[in-house]
Amino acid sequence: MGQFRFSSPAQVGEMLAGVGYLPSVEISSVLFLADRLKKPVLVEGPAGTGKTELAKSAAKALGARLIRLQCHEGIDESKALYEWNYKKQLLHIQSDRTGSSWSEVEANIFSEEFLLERPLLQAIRAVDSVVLLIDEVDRVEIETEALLLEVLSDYQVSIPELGTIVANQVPLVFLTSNNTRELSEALKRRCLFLFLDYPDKEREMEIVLSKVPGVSRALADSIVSFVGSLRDLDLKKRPSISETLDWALTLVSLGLDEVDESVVKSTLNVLLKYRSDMAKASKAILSS
Amino acid sequence: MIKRVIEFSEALRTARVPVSLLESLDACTALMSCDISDRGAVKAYLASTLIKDHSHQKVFDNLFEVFFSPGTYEYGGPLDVQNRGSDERGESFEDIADAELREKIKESLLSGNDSQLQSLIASAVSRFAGMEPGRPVGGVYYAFKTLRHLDLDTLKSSLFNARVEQLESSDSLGLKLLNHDVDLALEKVRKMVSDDIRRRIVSDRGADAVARTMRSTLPEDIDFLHANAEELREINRALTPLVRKLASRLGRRRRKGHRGTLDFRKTIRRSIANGGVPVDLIFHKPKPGKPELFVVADISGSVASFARFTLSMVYALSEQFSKVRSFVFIDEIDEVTDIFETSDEIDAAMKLVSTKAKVVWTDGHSDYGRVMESFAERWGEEITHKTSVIFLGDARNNYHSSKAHALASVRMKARAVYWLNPEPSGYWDTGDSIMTQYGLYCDSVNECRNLRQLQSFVERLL
Repeated sequence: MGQFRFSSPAQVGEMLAGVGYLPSVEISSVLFLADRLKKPVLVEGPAGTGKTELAKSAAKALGARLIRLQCHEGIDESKALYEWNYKKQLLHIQSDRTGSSWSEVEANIFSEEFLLERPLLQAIRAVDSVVLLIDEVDRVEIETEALLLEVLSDYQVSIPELGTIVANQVPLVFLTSNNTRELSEALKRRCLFLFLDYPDKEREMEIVLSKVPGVSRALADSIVSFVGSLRDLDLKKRPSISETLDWALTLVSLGLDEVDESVVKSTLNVLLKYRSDMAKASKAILSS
Repeated sequence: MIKRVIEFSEALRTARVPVSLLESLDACTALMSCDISDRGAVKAYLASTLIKDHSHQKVFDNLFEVFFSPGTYEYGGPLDVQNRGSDERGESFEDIADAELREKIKESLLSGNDSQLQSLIASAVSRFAGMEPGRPVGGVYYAFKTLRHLDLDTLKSSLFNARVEQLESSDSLGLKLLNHDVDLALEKVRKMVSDDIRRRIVSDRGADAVARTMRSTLPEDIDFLHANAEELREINRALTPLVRKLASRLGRRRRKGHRGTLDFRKTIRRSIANGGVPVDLIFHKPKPGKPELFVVADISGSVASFARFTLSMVYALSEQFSKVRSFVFIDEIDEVTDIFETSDEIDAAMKLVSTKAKVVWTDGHSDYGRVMESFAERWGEEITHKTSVIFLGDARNNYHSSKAHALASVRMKARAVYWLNPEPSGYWDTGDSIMTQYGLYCDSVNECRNLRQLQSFVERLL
């Protein structure tokens, strides 16, 4: 404890860039702050802007193990925190024919050996450095959120049979949300909030240039401005960064080096996933 | 510094952004434990600790500019010195001619030299805005004056021409993209101008005073009736996530619901796996009653945008109802259910409605009385005890007769009758508004001036 992972926001930026994630100033500042204040980061934003990728890259940059809890409706303690291995416990009791007293048996079966660690407990008990990713936290019920609160505010877990387990170290925690429902105030209060929007033109160009081999600067420029102009339209699903990259890859592998109308027409389905969106885009951008 | 952050949180709260004590404490801790010479980082620190909802971002941005703009607040870091340096460099542009200034702005836009652009803009503002210290005029006025002198239309076409020459292929797509780029550049100029002006006003009058006069409204709180085009777009953007959240919350509530009666057949079937012992009891899923909805909307000029938002919210939630039928009127009423059901775009639908529906009978001024009568006569038969009827309108009847008895007959048949009025309740029954006459026959009359109120009504409805 007492040591910090990062020395400055600029260093965060360099470390992330080192593993192929190009952060904006906000991203590196918030990560830096999360480390200083030992607070989890709640990442929100449209789909495909690199929310999960951020956590993965942070883990990679720090050389830490990534522990991921994928949330879904109906997730509970036994899937998020810990569970007792009932079957093994049963077998143990059956095989124990020495006639030991109940209190001995009880002490035996509620011990480390029979504990199944789930992601949250794993992250708390880890001795090596870890990054905890709680993905799509907006999918859990409000009641389950309370469970996260204890873990995220005190970095401890209470197991009735074993007592309270306190973290050896405060892991870097990311929560991602697609904003399908309002998270509870209590959870939001405890987190730093980071909104990942579509990147600005310069940053997206850098991303395309670094992720797509063989793309020329001129092509990247027109790709990014075309996608940018699509995002200004009122679409059902705006093209995300990953779709920009897909499109760039498509163009490069087709051996094209400029964006013109016929290219756009034949490859628009890579960027847009709804028919009504495609019709709208063709009408707005391609004059026929 | 601490004091500044507290004041800033206070201003955010005044703008109805919820900032808890803990959060402002976090913001202070953040600024104390980090290097605060970099303004961008400071902004990120404050945003991540104070703002927990993206729709509050815009209000935050505006207030941040007011409270933490360079020149009004001393950071004492290296970057700040740089900033002031560039301001001083700006002096050198003071004595060039107006035309040359415009030319230079164009050049720095082309070359992407932002720091030069900044000082050019600063000099343009001091030249054109004609700011007088202590004069209580909003920044909009100064910005308008500056931009008029900068002559953005000419700037746009010259930028465009300069870029076209560099362009290799000149098909229409290329030109369109270029146009988009140029628009972005001009947007940048506009923003710089208003930022610069705000900075000056703040240093003249103090952050608190400026924050008080600044209109910083969350999208949920924008008044439907007085929203300008930009604000309408903002409401529209806020509407989609709002509806999605509402739908998922309502869906969840339905799924959870109360347990139904025992499903004997399934329980026995399941018990076979346990040797005939009914371990798991299976219950009938409750079938929540889905209300049937008749939406009757006034679409005359004054309240059209209100009708649009309400209808689009109702249709986005149409899964929650067994049936939605919509009617629009001005001084004649027509059913438009088909139009809304066949088009998936609310704007396109609204356009169709205004061309196809027969809503004008004589003069195109709202006539609620006539409409009530006609509604009861033509569709009264189809209203049952399952139907909730929602009227949308300001109940301003242009001094026609109210014919409230028609509404009374609708009320007799329907499950419930609600009225949503986009006017503040204080204005009801003033002038030609006859809200109370109709209100007598409604289960509730609701003031519905903004998204927040609309949302809470829909939630109560289900």
